[in-house]
Amino acid sequence: MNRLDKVQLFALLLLSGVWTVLCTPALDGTGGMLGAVLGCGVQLLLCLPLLRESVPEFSRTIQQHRWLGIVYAAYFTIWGSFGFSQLHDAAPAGLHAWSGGAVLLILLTCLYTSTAGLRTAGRAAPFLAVLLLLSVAVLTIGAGKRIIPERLFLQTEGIRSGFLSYLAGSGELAAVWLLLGRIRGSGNPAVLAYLPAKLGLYLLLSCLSIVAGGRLTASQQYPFLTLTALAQPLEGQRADALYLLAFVTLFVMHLTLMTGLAGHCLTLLYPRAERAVPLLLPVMLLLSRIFPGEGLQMAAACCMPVLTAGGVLFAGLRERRRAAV
Amino acid sequence: MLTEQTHLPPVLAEQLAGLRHLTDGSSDLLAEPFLCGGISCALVTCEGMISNAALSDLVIRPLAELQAVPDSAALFRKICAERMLTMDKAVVYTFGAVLERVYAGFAVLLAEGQTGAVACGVQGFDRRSIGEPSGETNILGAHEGFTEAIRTNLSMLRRRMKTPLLKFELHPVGRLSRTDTALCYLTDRVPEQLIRRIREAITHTELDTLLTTGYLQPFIEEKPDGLFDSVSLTERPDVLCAKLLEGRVAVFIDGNPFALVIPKLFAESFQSLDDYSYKPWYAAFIRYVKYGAFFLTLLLPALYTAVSVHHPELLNSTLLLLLTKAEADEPLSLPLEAIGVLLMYEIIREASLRLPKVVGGAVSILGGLIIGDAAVASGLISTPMLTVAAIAVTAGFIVPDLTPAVTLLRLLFVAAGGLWGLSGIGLLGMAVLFALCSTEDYGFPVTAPLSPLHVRGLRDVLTRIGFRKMQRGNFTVEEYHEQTG
Repeated sequence: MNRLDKVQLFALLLLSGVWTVLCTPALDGTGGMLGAVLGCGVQLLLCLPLLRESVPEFSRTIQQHRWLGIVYAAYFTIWGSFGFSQLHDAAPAGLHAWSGGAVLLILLTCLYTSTAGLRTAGRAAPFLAVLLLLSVAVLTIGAGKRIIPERLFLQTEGIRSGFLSYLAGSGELAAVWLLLGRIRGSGNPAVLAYLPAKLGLYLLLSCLSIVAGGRLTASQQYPFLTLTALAQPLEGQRADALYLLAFVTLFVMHLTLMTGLAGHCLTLLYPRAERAVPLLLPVMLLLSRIFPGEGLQMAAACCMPVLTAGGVLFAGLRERRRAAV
Repeated sequence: MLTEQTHLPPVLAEQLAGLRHLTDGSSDLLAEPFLCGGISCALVTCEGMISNAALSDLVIRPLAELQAVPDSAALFRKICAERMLTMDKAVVYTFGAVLERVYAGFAVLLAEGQTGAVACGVQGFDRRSIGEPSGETNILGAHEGFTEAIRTNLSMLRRRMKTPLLKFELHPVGRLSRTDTALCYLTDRVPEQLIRRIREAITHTELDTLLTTGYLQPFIEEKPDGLFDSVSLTERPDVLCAKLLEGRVAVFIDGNPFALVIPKLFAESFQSLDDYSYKPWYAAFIRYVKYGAFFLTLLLPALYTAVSVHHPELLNSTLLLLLTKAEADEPLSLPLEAIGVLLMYEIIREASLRLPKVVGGAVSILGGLIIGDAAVASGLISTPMLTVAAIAVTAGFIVPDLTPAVTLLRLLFVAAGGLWGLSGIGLLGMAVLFALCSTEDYGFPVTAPLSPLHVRGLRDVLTRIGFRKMQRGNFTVEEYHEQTG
């Protein structure tokens, strides 16, 4: 079995989650931050069925209920294609460019990384998590110079949209059940650490955007990407290079994870499909072009809670019923 | 039909004729008939492979002193049971076995009426004396390295580890060369399964001859075409001892002064023996200098190119003006200029490596001073570009272990940075990171102990703790082993 360890699982989930956080389309102020805290609470509740000791094994369950495997594979494919949509939609924020050449380059890189498998992605994840932390540290230092604390005040508007946006932006949660089955030892600490870590990062970026960016970030789409343009730690030089590196690598990691997960589900159902797994990438790109932006997000957001907790509850119930019979 | 598998006939003349037939009268095969204890015998040796003094003292003199014996069977009984002759002694029965021993530096005694032959090890051939390793020099450690003679290398190891747990296994490899290879490990620190897999990899090697480690490496590595090595090399006995103590396996090849070490960790490329002679704080500082040098050598020309071409806003005004001024009159685009300078360096390096040492120095002067100076003066290459390239290649000397991968990747990064800017560098970096993370041998990922994370292993990677602490806990690389499949 290709196994991951707790640190790798934590890093994989965090990197994938942070990609969605970075591409948060709008800022809802402190109300939105409160909503995100609530959203994180709900995510924790959704994860609780997965953290029990006797969780039905993912691979065995989807081999018994093949339709479930197809649903999960489709979900991860859709969530991956949503990543392409986010990349496309966030291009006007100015951090990166969306062009035929750039997409082709990304696609080629992802083709290579996705063929390396989930274990390789897991090994690479902690290194990229260090790059992410470094970028966040530079961003915080850079934003520090522009902070006006008075900009931060409590407001109740935006709680609902913040809650929904945060909850919906966690497609990687649906992968927890699958990934927990590939962990050496218990993966619960990794999941329990990932939820607050992602929330912490979201709150930090939100805070920085509000207190350092003020109206500028509040009025812009993709406020966190706008923040990278403002947060420059050095007087004479800009640090966009580091942010761009982090942004690009986060996207590749996110896409690699989604392709790997979808491919894993398909391979469990159809072992011969292993070689065709990289083909999922063009499919994702195509889907993102056919169903751009919010349509995909809405579909994925509706499915996420069901797939995170529903799958495992369904499998548990079926096992219990079988045992009773 | 006489073959190497044919058993020795009881007639001495036929034995000698058979040997001459199989070797086609090769001139280095020497066969000297003589009487020993009243029995007709012959001593067969290979010219240049034996020590005449050892042959005379250990074999000829004791045989000459033998009293008369009734028959050849009694003679062999006496030699085998009562006379020691040499420590390395065996009885062989086929023509092939006789020739194999003769060509390995044995003196083989044939006797009339016997279908066996006594082989005595009297090896002695000219060899290079033990000297300082050419590629792994250090300041505070021993100044001796392995030589081409496998047994000398084994003895250098044994001198440092006088424990019965250190085991050597000899396996001849190569259909024609029958080159001795030796598997070395500490029996209590290496799992039998790992030893079995490496042994199988070596013994199943289908080669005619085995001349360097590069011949054997692809048979040992699981991904021989990978960008990064999963097997390391060393020519230092002290370094190898340290690695064996950590539960690794070494493979020696006769005629090669390098030992292959399995498994390899990427972090080891930044470690040297001197790290363990200096104070820990200084060793840790040097480690970080090496880590920095690795990124410099890999990325500096690419970052310079990418920033100058695609992201000039990242430079401060002074630097930007300086570069604009320097690059304004250059005939080539910046990426091409960078690739050109780096290729020029590779050509000069290769030329100074292959030429005789006397001329090699001249090439360095010609390349470094004349061509470099002339290229800048003529306006073909800008001074900042030459400076960047010089810093990058100098930084590369700090991690010589990674030279092949770094050389290629540096050029690729320059191309990616020149074409697509920092995004290109980031994407290529991802591909390289995945290539590194997918490298493993026998279930040992090269990225350990960083990923998978082993906190105990970080004490010699992120820092270098003192020996009092390091010796605790009997660390072996088995801790990094992952189930494959």
